This record gives sequence, structure tokens and C-alpha cells, in this order.
Amino acid sequence: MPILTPSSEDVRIYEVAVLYPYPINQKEEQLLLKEVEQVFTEAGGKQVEKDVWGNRGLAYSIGGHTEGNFVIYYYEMDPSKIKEVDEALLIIPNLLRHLIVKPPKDYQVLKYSDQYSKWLKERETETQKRERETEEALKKKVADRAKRQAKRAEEQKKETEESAAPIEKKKLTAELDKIISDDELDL
Amino acid sequence: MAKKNQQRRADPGHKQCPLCEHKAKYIDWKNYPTLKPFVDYFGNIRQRYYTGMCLKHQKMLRTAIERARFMGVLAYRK
Repeated sequence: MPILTPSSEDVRIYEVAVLYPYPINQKEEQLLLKEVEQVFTEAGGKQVEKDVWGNRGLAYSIGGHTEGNFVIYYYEMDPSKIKEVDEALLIIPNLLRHLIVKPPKDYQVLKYSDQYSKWLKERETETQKRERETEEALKKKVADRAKRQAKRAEEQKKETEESAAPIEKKKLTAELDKIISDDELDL
Repeated sequence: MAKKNQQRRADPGHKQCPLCEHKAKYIDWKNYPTLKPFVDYFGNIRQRYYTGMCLKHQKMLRTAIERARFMGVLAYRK
């Protein structure tokens, strides 16, 4: 990742973004970009970096176009000339928008394609994380249920043992004898 | 006192700034994924009260979002 630092104290680094419509002839595109670059060379700018985004959808239609091409230039030039450049860029036909920004000190240029791939990776990991979390929650639920069932089964066993155990054999026989020897019962 | 603190709900006005955690010095208008969570469905900038952003970063965010809107990266209004 290149870090932008101006070569001398008289010049500054400017970030110039240019937007032009997407369905465009190759010839027209080349002409347009040449014209844009000519504006800078006339103002005495020196190109430091260039980042071509390619076509992407716009958030709202600009001049009847819903898709546009972005190109971002990093130029090193005299601060007094920037106004001329701005005005010259306004005049160029078929150029939808342009934006001139002073990047902060020690600004790192990140290529859009790299950033995009990085973002996609992060997004993937995020979705994976969510999936993992849901899976873990499900597993926990299953384990809890199994535990509860085991507990219940144990309790039932205990209960049956308790209900079966209480009357001892001797007592039972004695009581049975009592019933049999009872004279009041006419069987 | 500890009990009182436990009972009290987290005040939404006292959140940690999400960008101070990364020690952000500059918010880039070209970085769509960082801007997106601070814009609501209608394209408005989320209030500082809800995101917990500090004032310094909120001002930087505003310029970044306005630049992105101008270049057609973000919508003005949905």
C-alpha cells in the first residue's frame, strides 16, 4: 500500500474522483480520460496514483444514467492551480461528476478491487460466524433436552422403586393370612 | 450501590464510539461498507444518540457521507 507524501513543500496531493456514464464507446472513453488528464498536465500536475473502479451502479440516476464508471486520480500539484482544474473539469462534456478532496497526512491508497475482495471476505466470515452461533445454540438445546430426559427417567425409576419397595414380604403374608382367617368374610 | 447499578438499564446516551475503537483519523467517502451502517433505510444519517458516535467522528462522517452522496455512491433519499 503506497503512502502518499508530497515531494516538496510547494505542492500538495489531491485526490480527484471522476464519474462518467457506463454504456460508453471505447473511443469516447479514451478521449474523455485523455481530456481529463490533459487538464491536469496543463495545470502542471504530476500523477502519483490512479485507481480505476470500473462500472458500478449509482444510488440515484444522474443525467438519466443509472450506472457509471469511476476513476480516481492522485495528483501532486500547486494549490493555487486547483481552482482552474476544478473549473476546467466542470466544462468537460459527458463528465457526470467530479470531486476534488485533500487526503489527510500519510494517506494510504487502497485499491478499490483489493478493498472489495477484503470486504467480501469479512462479510463471509460474518455470515459464517452467525451460522456457527446458531449451530452452537441448537447443539446446546439438544444437549439440555437430553439431560432433562435423563433426569426425568432417573426420577421415574426412583419413584417406581419407592412404590414397589414399601410393603415388605412378611407384612404382606401376615395381612393376607389375616384376611383369609377372617370369619366374617363369606367367600 | 452495586445493586442499584445492576438494576439500571444501559443508557443509550452513554455508548462507546464505534470509530474510536479503531482509532479512525479519517473517514473515507469511498469506503462504502464503513459508511453504510450509519445511514438508515431512508438514506438519513443516524443520530449520534443511537450510534454512540463521538462528535469529532460524527462531523467527519457527515462530510464523508455528503461526498459519497454527491458522487452517487449513497442515496440522498429513498
